[in-house]
Amino acid sequence: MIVQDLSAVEISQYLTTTGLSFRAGSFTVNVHSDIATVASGISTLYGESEIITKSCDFNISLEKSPGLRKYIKPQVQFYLNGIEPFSPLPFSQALPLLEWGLNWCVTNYCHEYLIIHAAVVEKNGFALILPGQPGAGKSTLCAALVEVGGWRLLSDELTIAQLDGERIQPNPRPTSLKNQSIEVVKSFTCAKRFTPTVHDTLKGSVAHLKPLSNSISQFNKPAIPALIVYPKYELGVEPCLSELSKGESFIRMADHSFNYSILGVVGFNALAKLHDKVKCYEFHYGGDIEQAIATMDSLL
Amino acid sequence: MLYRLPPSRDVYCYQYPPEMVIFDNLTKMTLLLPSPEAKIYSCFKGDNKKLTEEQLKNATDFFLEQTDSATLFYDSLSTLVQLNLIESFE
Repeated sequence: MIVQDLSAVEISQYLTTTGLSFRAGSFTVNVHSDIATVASGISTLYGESEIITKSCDFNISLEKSPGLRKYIKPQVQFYLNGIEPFSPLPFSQALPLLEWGLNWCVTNYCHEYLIIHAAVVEKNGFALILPGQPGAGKSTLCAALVEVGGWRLLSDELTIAQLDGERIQPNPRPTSLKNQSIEVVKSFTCAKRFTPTVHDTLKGSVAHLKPLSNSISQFNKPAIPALIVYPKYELGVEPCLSELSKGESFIRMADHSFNYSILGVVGFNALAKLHDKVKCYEFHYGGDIEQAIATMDSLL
Repeated sequence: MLYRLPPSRDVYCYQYPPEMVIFDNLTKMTLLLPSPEAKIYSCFKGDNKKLTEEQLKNATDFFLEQTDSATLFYDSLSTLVQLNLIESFE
């Protein structure tokens, strides 16, 4: 049974009583909330996700702040197992908070993997990892590769590498798009798969895009790491691909990792083995999505 | 290729010729050598540090002078990581 088998009323009933348990990427989550935008957002983003009937990896609650905050500049609070790990956000940001909170859960509790801040996609069994600072254009390039280029989304945000460096574990969750990239991606994607844009977040305007069905259904099919490409979007520049040394990439990936410091020598060995398998590049690109896809395809 | 120095050193090396990445399990520091801008990534601090040109020259001079044999090469790397020279660079 999947989430979209439930009516909107049933989804709300679950969310306000026992919580709704469903698969979110590679992990399972029970969400408890009486916030309408959370219910509609889950329906949009996780409609094709399996409903879970056993205990989940993460138990999350999203609640409207109590007291006067219910009426004056209302806020939403995020709880994991009853503990509030970060400060409340404006009420309008309830759905983004669910997504950001889920990312936080994975990066803070899943140290059986090396977790890197990077998008990752797959074609022909091989994984292309796209690390990047916010604004580098990794989500836009990732969305283009998946929506237009026929690559499979493994994750838009978190590359989950096995510690032996042999495989990248999929975590097909919604793609987080920000600011101008929202309209860029909407130009080549079905608008029904987007959540409404939420403005004035710490990251600017934010919208989420539901993964394609083939990504969701293959959540347990890992890929072999083959390429690490550091994208950099600069409006109007000609596409430029240049090889990057493995040593330089190693240091950058350590910098992009959420738990390299926690794993210590295990993390070092994982990055080392990962770099044994990959070729590394920097890729500067402008607005030409087709050219960018062709360049990535040529690397396979 | 993954290299491990003698256990007493607790320093791990990974070679991508001509580069080498080194992890010192004592200080939790990751170091890339040699490179035009040697970078030190300190795990627990989460910093990505760059040496100044003079600091780099001092560090790599020491490194390059010791590469006559593999033993000396690794000794030099180990020493470089353990050198506390790195500490003094910060």
